[in-house]
Amino acid sequence: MIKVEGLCKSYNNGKVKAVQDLDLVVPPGEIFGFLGPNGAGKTTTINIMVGLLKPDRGQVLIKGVDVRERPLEAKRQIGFVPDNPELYEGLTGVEYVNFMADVFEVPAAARRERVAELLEVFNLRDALGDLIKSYSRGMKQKIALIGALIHDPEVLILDEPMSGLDPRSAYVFKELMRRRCEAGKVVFFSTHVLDVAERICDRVAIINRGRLVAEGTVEELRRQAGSSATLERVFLELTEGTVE
Amino acid sequence: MMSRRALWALLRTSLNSNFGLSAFRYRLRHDRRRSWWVFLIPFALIVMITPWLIMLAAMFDVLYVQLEPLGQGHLVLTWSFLLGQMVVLLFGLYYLMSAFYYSRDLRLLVPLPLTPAAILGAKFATVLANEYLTLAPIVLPGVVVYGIRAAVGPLYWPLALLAFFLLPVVPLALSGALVLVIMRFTNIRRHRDAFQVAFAVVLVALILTGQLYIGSVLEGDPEEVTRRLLDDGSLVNVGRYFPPSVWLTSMVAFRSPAEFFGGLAYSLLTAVGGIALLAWLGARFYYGGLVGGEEVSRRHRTFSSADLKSELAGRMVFWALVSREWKNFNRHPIFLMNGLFGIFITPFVVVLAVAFRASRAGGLDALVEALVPLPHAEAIVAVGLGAFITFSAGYNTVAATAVSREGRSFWISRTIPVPVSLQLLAKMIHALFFALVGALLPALLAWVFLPVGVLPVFLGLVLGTLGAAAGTALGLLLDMHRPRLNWTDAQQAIKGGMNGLLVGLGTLVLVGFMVFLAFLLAPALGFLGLVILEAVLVGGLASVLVYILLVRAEEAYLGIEL
Repeated sequence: MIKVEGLCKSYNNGKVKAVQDLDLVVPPGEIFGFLGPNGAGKTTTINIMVGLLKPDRGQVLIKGVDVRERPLEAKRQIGFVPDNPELYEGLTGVEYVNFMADVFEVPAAARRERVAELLEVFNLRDALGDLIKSYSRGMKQKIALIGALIHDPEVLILDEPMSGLDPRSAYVFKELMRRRCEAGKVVFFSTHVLDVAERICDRVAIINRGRLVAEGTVEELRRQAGSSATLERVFLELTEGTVE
Repeated sequence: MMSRRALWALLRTSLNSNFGLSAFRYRLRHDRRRSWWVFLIPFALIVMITPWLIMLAAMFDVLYVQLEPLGQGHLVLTWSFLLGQMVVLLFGLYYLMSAFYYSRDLRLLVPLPLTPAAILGAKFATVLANEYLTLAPIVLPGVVVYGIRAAVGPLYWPLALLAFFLLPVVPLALSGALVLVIMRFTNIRRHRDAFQVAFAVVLVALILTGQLYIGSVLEGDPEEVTRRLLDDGSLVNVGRYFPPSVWLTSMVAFRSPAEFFGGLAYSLLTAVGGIALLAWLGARFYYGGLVGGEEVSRRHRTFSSADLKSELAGRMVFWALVSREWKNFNRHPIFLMNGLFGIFITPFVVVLAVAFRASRAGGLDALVEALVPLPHAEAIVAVGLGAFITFSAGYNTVAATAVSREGRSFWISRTIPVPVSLQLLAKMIHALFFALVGALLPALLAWVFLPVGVLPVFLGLVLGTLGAAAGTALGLLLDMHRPRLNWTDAQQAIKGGMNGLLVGLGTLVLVGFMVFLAFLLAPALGFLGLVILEAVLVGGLASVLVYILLVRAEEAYLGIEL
């Protein structure tokens, strides 16, 4: 479903290498956690995957569609929420969701059904008619998630999705991600919360200084580091060297 | 007590952020290919403000000639300083309220170990720096006219420079003090949008009144003008009620050492006093007014299934994009007010000025009577109207900031499955709509008052629409290639990128071309021939610009890295 091949991206005329020769494959029906310390290249990779950044080399395929060659076709398959999403502050929540439904050409009946369902999930019915500028960070995160899910995308790409959510919403959202994967869709997300990754991800990848340093199920990574190691310990060993 | 080093760091960072200095340096170092426009800015500035400078200098020159025989030539300086200080006083309220209470960086600054007075001081200094840029074209003509006419000594120029630096301090400090008191003791902060709209309306009313007043003072024969100027209650005498301009004049154009030292002492003391007052009020009131300043009232209406059904109706993608532009623009007071200023106020002021002058010169009938017998009256009306609409559209920042206005929410435009060209077309329709609504007033007035028939007015409207389309496409092209997305204050999105200035320059060139062509070819081609030729040329230019815009759209958007 998602295929990343030989991805490279540098900044400052090649002096800062943000992503180096990254290869990833995420098959249908999988929740994939993308882990790494700050500045490891997670957001750069995600931004390239959704078409926000142009890679120096390499390609990203979403359901076999090259994001750079056929961007509109690829974008139709993707639902995306960035880290700390800034939305149109002059729109109300319902206007934003309706806008997203319009541009993804979601039929009226389907959009009503999905919005009603997602409003229950995120408990946002009271705020839907208010301007987004009145929303808290968590509410913005929720309305952005509703906007990303409105067209029922095949691939959901999220940058730190849990950071603004309250415990109830985070719990229901994890359930929602699980249900999507059972329906054969893909959820690809970056996170710093290793507990979340450990509990809900089918597979994880760890990136450090732009390079992939580990990839597999949490069990496989544990085995590499010693059977009793937690994902946190594995993460620290791989990203910072030996941990005492 | 915070250290001087911390204070200096805060001030430097505020100025850096306001003028985008680091971002500019970075672009120059790392992206020279896309920084070519920087070299156009001084040129654009000179071209755009030169007509204004000439007009103001001519006005002050007339004044000096009238006043000098009465020994009152220095009133040119007083008036010039007063005009600048009034502008600072009025606009300062608007800018300081925005900077003190609604800048996004306050979320970062307030939790830092900085005193309220330090944050306030940094914000004040930033607005002050901007005011110097605004003041220069207002004050410079009067200062230069007096300097040349009055055969001044060598001390005049450095003293005039000192006066220029002192000039905005007192009015801006007074505006700041007023803002602090208003925000501390009223509930305005929770209704900032309504306040900004109301304030802008008041500002427009004051500008129009000022325009009429200045017109009324300057009309008539020279003796009459002089009499009015020296009358009690005239604009010059307003200086008595706001004496800093009189003190600055005494300092610069002194006739005795006592006058010089008096003027200097009063000017310095009031400047220091103004800042001290602001610091004192800031220490007491600033944080009290700031707490809750970010809050926006909410309705908490629960959406029923019926509400969802009506609100979630499907639209065509294009109209969804136009609606996005419309709502994001109209619901942001700063965007809306800047747009309306450019579109409605400029034409309105010009039309009003023409009407007023016409009434002074024997009524509009006299003006019409003078126009109608001209050999190419129809061509003059059509091309004049077309050029005027093009000019107004060029000063409209709606298109030149269309991408910048998206700010940090620009990621949405980049990730939705909609061609960039379609998104830009929606922006163009939105901007063009504003330009054309602004064009209707002059067109209507021309149709009602000028007895040349409907055809020249209609063709002028067509020509103006084509010119406005060219200006709009140029604005979008520039903003697409160099948007300012990382703004912390909405004013930065409008003014920070300088795209509006470059578009203004472009349309000024186009207007010059249209008028030049009319002078050159009207006798040979006649009314219809000339208008058709101009429509073909201007329409051709608009088509080429729109074509470039649409062809380059995808690549340009891809080049914008957030």
